[in-house]
Amino acid sequence: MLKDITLGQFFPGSSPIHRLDPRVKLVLVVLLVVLIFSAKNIFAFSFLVLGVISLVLLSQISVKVVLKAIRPILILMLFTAIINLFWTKGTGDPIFALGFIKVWREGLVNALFMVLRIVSLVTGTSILLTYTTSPIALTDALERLLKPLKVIKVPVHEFAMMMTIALRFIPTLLEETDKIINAQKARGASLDKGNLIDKVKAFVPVLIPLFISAFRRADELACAMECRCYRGDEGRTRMKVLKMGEIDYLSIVVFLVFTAVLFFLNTLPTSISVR
Amino acid sequence: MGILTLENVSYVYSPSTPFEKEALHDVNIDFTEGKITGIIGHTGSGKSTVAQLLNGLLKPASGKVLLDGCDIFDPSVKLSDVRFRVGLVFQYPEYQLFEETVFRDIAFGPTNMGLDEAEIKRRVIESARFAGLDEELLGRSPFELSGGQKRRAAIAGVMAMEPEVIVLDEPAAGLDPRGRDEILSGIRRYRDEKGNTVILISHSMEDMALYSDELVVMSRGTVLVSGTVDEVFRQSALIEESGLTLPQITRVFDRLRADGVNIRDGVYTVEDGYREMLSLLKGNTNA
Repeated sequence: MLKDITLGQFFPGSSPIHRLDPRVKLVLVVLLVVLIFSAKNIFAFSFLVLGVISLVLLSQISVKVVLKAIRPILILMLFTAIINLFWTKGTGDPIFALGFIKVWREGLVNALFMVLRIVSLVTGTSILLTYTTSPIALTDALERLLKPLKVIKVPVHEFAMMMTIALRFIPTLLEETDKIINAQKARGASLDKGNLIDKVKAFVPVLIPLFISAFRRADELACAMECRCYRGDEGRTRMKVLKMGEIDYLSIVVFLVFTAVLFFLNTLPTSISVR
Repeated sequence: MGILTLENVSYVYSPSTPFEKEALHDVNIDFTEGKITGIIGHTGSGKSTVAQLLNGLLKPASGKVLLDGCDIFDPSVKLSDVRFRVGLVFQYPEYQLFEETVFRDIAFGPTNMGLDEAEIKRRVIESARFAGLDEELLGRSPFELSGGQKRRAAIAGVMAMEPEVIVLDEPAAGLDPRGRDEILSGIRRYRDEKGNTVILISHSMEDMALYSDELVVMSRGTVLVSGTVDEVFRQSALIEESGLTLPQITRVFDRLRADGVNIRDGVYTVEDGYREMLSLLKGNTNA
């Protein structure tokens, strides 16, 4: 039951997006977010949506999976849409009025664009990052990108290592939780009866063994790392050295062209634009 | 029909996902009341899956689990009652201890059953004795105990529910030979005094020969052979085919007999072998 929870849903593959250098992906994702929020009119938005769709196609990840990523934020989208729809005051006559509720054309446009922004945001970031980059590659890239911060004594390597270890142990601890729950159930523990306080109390027999086992594992891991002479960042070499290839430079160029076109489209005169 | 029966049971892990794996295929096992039945098989043969099916932690994909003739997944049967009647000790059960004292941890099961204090106390003390746990340890924190003592405390925690059937998944795994003998003989003493049914899961042929009355050999999710220890061990070809080996002592005696030494077959324990060897040597000097 607990195994159904998936964190960092990485789908292994060999598409062009999978093969991109994770550093490039990280930077591009940040720029993409900026782009999504700088789109201003119908042309720019159409172009943006086109771009996101081609990202999805390039990644060879099924549309079903992408839709699944959007499902949890449906409520947020609906909420944003409604707020934009009713709270945007336009010029001229409202296109719909009922008592104090008035909807202007501008509100309709704003609501539509906001929903498009959220969808592109979620789809774009998950396709570029979480779906196509393994968590380990991601932390690796993060460590490399944040390396300059070491000058001001930020322990970048230590943070990255902590993140890697945490990610590594999520499935292990989930499995362990499942096992402990089953063992306590076999002794007649009922975990889902009574009111909230009863339920919290009922989880004590699960939480205590879980914490103890987490500490034990941490101890063992620390010991194993020390036995293999782990001593932090100093003088450490990597098994996989990140290297920019043709595909990375190409994607940066494509992205820059995309950005230029989008900003050009933003300047085109049209009445359908964000206020 | 025995007390607990698996009828044409199949089980599939993660059905309809890319990770789908059939763990059991059309398994039929009948556990005889009051006997110690050993389930033996290689890693991945489905032993532990059987254990979790027996008390309803897993639900079979098809087939039935019958307790005293009643399907445990029948809507009229309360699953929590089934779990009190069929006790399950998991592999490495020491990781489930959580209470402040060993006494309270062993009492967790009986307390969940809603028993009164006097009865709980009697059961805790009795099951601690069967599991080979000194009474003075009962007042200590379970986390101060040694690994072997923790294991005993966890086993006592299930015994204290006095289930009609107790299922133990590798109760002696990772213990030294002495700890292993103490725990297994404690389990047998529990059966002898209480008359309750015991199901032992293991991959050690030696232990099984020594402590079980009946054996079920599993291989790749199916039952390969079952019957009394004697009946099963006679099918040596079949057992070796499944990747398990007969007890060392049996193999030594088989080899001796093949070389023309006049000894009987059916020697499965060192104790047996010792006696057999002794009588052989005596016979030789007499002649």
